[in-house]
Amino acid sequence: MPGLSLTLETAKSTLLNTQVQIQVNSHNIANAENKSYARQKAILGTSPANLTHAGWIGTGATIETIVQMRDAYIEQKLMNSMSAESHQNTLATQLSIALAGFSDSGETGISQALGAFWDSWDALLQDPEDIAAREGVYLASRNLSQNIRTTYADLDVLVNSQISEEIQETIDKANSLLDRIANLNHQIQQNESPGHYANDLRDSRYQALKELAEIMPIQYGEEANGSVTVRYSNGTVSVTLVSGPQASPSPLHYDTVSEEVTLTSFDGGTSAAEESVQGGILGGLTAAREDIQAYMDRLNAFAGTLIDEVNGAYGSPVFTGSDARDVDISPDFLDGPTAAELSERALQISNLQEKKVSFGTGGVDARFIDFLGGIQSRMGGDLQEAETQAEFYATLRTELDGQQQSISGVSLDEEMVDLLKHQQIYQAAAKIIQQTLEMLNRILDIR
Amino acid sequence: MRISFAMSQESRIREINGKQQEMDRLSTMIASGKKLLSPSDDPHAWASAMDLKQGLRSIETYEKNIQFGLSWGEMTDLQLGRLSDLIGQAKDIAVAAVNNAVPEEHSAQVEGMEQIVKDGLEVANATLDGRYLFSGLEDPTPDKPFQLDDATGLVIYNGDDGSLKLRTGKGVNNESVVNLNGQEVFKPGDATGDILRELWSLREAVKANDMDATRAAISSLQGSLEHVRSQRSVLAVRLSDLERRQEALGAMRLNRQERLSHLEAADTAEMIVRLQQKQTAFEASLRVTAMVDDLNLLDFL
Repeated sequence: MPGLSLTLETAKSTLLNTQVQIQVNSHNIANAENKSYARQKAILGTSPANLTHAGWIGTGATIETIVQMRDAYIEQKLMNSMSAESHQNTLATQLSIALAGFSDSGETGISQALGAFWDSWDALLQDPEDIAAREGVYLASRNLSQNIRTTYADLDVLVNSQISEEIQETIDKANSLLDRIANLNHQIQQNESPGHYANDLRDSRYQALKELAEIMPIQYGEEANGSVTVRYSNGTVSVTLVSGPQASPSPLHYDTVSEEVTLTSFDGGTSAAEESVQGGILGGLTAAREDIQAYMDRLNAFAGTLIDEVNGAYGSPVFTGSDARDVDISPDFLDGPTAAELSERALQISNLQEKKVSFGTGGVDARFIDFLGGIQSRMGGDLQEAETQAEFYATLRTELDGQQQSISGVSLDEEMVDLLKHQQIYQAAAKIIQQTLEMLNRILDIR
Repeated sequence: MRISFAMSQESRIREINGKQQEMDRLSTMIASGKKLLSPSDDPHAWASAMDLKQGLRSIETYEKNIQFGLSWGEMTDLQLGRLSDLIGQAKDIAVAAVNNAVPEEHSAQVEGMEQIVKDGLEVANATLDGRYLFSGLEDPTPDKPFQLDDATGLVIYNGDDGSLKLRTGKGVNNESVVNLNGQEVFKPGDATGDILRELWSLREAVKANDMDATRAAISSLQGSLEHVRSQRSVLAVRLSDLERRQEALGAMRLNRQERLSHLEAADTAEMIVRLQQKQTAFEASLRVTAMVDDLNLLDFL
C-alpha cells in the first residue's frame, strides 16, 4: 500500500543503507596504507516495486553485497614480477657479499699478496744471502698462502653454511605460508555464501600469496567455492601444492646433503626434485650457490697451478697442499740451496709472473694475475647482470603494482567524495522523514 | 588511472631513496677519487685496471733493480778506477827504480810499493753497503774475499764466479748481470795476470833491488792495466744499457699511469657538478613530498 508509511519505510532503509556505506568508507580509509587490502564497495540494488492503481511504485534501495575491487590477471602478473625481482635481488646480495671478500683492486687481498710475493723474489735476487731478503720471501709466501686459504674459506662458509641455512629458513617460511593459505581457503569456504564474500579473509590470503611469490614463483587460480589452487610449474614439472583446504604437511623439503629441494603435492601424490627453482628468494639462493661454487673452483685452479709452477721452478716444495683449501708454505724451504742456486731459482720464480700458463679450466693460457683478474671480472659481470636484472624487474613490478593499486588501492580523496555523497543522501532521507512527519502531524491536527 | 594513497606514499619514498643512493655513490667516488669502486661497476675495466696495476708494479720492481744495478756498477767502476791508478803508480815507481837507482830514493820507493800492495788488497775487498763487490754471489764472511800471504805472495780467493743477475725488463732478454766477480777481475792464482801477486812481486823486486825482476814486472803490469781497462769497458756497456732501460721504463710507467687513471680515477670537477645536480633533484623530491602531503580534500570542505 502506497502512502506516507511506505515513504517513511523507504527513507528509513535509505538511512540504514548510507550508514553501511559510510562504514565501508571508514573501513577503506582505515586500511588505506595496507597494500594487501582491496578496497570494498557496497553495491546497491533497487528494492522490489509495489503494484498499485497508479502503477508500479518503487520502494527504495537495498544493499545487495559488499565486493572487493580486484583483478586476478594483474595480480598474477604482479606476483610473477615479484618472484623475478626477489630472485635477482637475492642473487645480487649474495654475490656482492662474495665479491666483497674477493675483489681487491690490487691494493689489498690476493692480488696484492701475489705482487708482494713476486717482488720478494726480486729482492732476494739482489742479495741471495741477505737474511732480511730471505725473511721477506718467507713472509710474502706465507702471506700469499694464507690469503688464498682465508678467501677460499670465507666463500666456503658463505656457500656451505650461510646460504644453506638461509635456504632452509626460506623453505620453512614457504611451508608455513602454504599451510596458512590452505587454512584460509578452509575459512573462506566456511564463511562465504552466495553474494556474501569473506573479503577480509581474502585480503589475508592475498597477503600470504604475495609473501609466497617472493620466495618462489607460483601460479594460482580461484575455484568456484572461493578457495585458491596454488601450483608450482616450470615447464618440466608441475606440482599442485595447495588445493582447497589441503596441503602436504611439508610441501617443500630441503636435503642438506644432496642440496636438492623436493616439492610434494597437496595429496602427497606427486613429488618432484627441483634442483634449481627459478625465481624467488629460493631461486636466487640456489643460483648464488652455483655461481660462488664456480668461483671457488677457479680459485682452486689458480692455487693448484701456482703451487705446481712455483714448486717446479724452485725445484723443491715452496708450497705444500694441492689447492686453495689447503695451500701452505713448506717450512725452511730457503735453507739448503747455496747462494748461486738460490739466485737461479729466484730468477725462475720471478719470471713466472710474466709466463702464460694453463689453469686447466679451458680457455687460453694466461698469466697468474690475469687469471685472478678474470675471476674478479667474472664475479663483477655476474653481479652487474643480477643488479641490472633486478632493476628491470623492480621497474616492471612497480608498474604492475601501480596497476594493481589503481584497481584495488584506496584513494583518500575518492573516499572523501563518497563520504560527502552518502552524507548528502543521509541528510536528504532525514529531510524526507521530517517532512513526512510534519504531514502526518497536520492530518492528526484536523479535528 | 587511480592513484591510491599507499601507492603515492610508496613512490615518493622510492624516489627519495633512489636519489639518496645516487648521492651516496657520487660522494664516495669524490671522497675516494675513484670512479671504479667495485668489479661490478665495469668488469672489463676492472680487469684492465688490475692488469695495468700489475704492470706498474713490475715496472717499479725493474726500476728498483736497475737502481741497484747502477749503484753497484758505479761503485765497481770507482774501485776499478782506483785499481788502474794503483797499477799506474806501481809502474811509475818501477820505472823510476830501474832508471835511477838512487839509494836515497830506494826506501821511499819500497814504502810506496808497500802502500800500493795494501791499497790493492783493499780494492779487492771493497764493499757496498756491507757486501763485497768482488766475491761473486758468495759472502765469504768471516773471511775476506781476497787474502794475500805476505811471505809467499800467494793469493787466496774465497768468493765464487757467480753472476749477480737481476730482472730489468719483460721478455726474453730480461736479465742483466750487474757484478764483476773477483776471479775475472783479479785472476787470483793465474800464472799471468794475477794482479795482486804481480804487485806483491814488484814490491819484493824493488825491495831486493832486483832490476831484472822489476823490468819483468813492468811489462806484466802493463798487461794487467789493459785487462782492468777492458773490464771497465765491459762495465760501461752494462751501465749504459741499464740507463737506457731505465729511461724506457720511465716512459712506459707514465703511459700506464695515464691509462690507469683514465680507467679508474674520478674527474672531481665532473663528479661535483653531477652531485650538485642530484642534490637539486633530491631537494625537489623532498619539496614535492611536502607539497603533496598537504593536499587533502578535507582542507577544502
